[in-house]
Amino acid sequence: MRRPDRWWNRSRFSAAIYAGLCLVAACLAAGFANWQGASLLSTPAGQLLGVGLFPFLLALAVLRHALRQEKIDREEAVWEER
Amino acid sequence: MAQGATTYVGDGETVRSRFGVFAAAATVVYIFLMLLGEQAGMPERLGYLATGALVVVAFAAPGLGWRTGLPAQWLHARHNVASALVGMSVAGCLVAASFSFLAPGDFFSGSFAGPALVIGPLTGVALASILIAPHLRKSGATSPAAYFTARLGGRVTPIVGMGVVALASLLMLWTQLVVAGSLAALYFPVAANTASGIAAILAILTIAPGGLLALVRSSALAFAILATAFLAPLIWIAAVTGGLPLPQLSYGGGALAEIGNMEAQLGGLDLKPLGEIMTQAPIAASGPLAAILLTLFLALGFAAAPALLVQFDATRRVRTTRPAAAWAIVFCAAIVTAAPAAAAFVKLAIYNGIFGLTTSEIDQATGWLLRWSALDSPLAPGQKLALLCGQTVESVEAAIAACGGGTEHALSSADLILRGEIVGLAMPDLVRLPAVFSMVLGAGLVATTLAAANACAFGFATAFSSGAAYRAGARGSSALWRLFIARLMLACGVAVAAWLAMNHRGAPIEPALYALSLSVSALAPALALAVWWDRTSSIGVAAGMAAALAINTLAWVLSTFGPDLTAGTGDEVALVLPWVSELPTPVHAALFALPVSLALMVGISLWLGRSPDPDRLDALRAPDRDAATGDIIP
Repeated sequence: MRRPDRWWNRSRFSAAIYAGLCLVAACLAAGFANWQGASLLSTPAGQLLGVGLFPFLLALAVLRHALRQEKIDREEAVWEER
Repeated sequence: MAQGATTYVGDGETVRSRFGVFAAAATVVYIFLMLLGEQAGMPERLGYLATGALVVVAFAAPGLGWRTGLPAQWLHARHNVASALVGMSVAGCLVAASFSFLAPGDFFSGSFAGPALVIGPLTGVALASILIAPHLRKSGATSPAAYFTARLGGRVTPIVGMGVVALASLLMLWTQLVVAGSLAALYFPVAANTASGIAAILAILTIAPGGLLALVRSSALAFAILATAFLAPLIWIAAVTGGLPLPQLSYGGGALAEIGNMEAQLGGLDLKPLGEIMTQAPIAASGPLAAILLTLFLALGFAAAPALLVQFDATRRVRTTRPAAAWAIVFCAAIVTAAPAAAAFVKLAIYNGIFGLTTSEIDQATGWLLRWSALDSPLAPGQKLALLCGQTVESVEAAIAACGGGTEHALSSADLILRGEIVGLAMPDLVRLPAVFSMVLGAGLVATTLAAANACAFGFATAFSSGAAYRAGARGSSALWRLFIARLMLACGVAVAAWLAMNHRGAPIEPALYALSLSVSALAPALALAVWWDRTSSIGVAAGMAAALAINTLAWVLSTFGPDLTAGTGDEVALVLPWVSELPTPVHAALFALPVSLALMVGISLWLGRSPDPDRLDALRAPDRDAATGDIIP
């Protein structure tokens, strides 16, 4: 029997949202860090916001997506049990 | 697979996660031992020789130690590696494949490419973990080529997919072997060509017997060496200069105020600050738009890079691929986000060294110049890393002669010409640390480059084993036959790449960027559509990938030979895109190829309008079942 679309659509939606967020965040970080331009080395605050926080937010986004996907998969498992 | 994961939860996880910690601790102990040796009068050359030999042993040992004849072990590492260790391994390959040793130099000069080199590869790992890696792992495919076979079927698509994956892996392997050789020649007493040959032999010695587990362990080991060698001096200097002893957060805070004061004095004397004396970096971006495009290029390129994707196959479960990617981002970030701090400390040390110094005293405060001025950039053969008064200087006498013959010539920033690479490569020497730090940093850089070469070699081998052989009838579906094909192709691929690396070293960064361009324009859209869009058609994907390959080939021909087919006439593609003309040619190629391949994949799929095979899709998308209990394992 074919799996219902609901599960698949939710997975797809979640992944699209998180992938889009990662790309937008990357563009914003690159744009912000470069907006600081040649003064990058003399503006720790600019570096911290543009480059330093970015990886940690990215790792958090990946973990958040992992939790969401796990929840979707668990609900799918419950559906399978039925 | 699921049984293995269930059986080994617990002790296996602990032991394997500790592996990286042991490697880092061993590196610290080694540094202390070498420091003691240095104090006891051990010749510096002996230290470099011993460190180089240790790198060779460290890479040969995992392959021989974990040698196996079992296909499940060689191809998938039995799906039994802790996610933190996979993350460390991916990070080790990523820092080398993204040329992160360029980042400190870019921050030193305030180049726009610096943030792109930090942000792009990390975003790539995040995209891979969200869009691609769990689904490859879920489908049982080690290589993207196998995923195309399993998901799309057909006769042409698996062949085209296999060709693109193999070509991208081979091009990246070529670059990594050249760079490994050039880096080894910078630090250790070996010629660059010979070192490239040794790197190729090591790739075979590591991967042919041990497969994926040897790849993951050796890459994690390389990462631990590099992280310790790069971060230990920075933490020490950050603490000594009064800043926060976390270079990733302090960004050289203790040094920045002093640099500001010195540059204000230089402005009064009408002299250029050090950031403006750097020559053009190998990867340049001169404005925010170019930097954002370069960031997206690196992100999409690494998201679909076969050398990185194959490593996620070692994770225990489908769901652990995502934490593995998060670990990879954290580990990689630990190194690359320290680049601004490294740049600040190096800049302050150079200012302190040259202010008030005369040419006759050059060996006292800027002795690094006498060593590094003789060496070529690993990414631009023939270009010296440092020049004094426009010349190479290897002795005090040469320095005096280069700057006009006067022994009392006062040095200033105007006398120096530096290439950006020197900031990352010579950091311990530039901040005047003992030679052992330079040895260990060299070992870490060479080791991570070897790790990236190993990953590319494994990506190349598995493309063939799981692509064509998978469909070659009854004999082809045998696991042992696939293992034989993988090992045979590994040897062939490494041999070809080694020949290219030893005979064509002129533009080492170019093949890697073309490999990334193929990932961006052919593999990333093909994989994302095949995973996420039900109606993706086999022919559409084949046509899109073939078009991307053709456009990249055309860009290479045009930029290498020009319309008049004369080599060296420049990048004709750049003429069409003047606003981002300084970006490397492969980035231009990807800008053209990605929309074309995406349009072909989507257009042909919509035109054919075939409904997908629901059973096949469900089999690939559904979570694994535990073989023992029958429960769904997400």
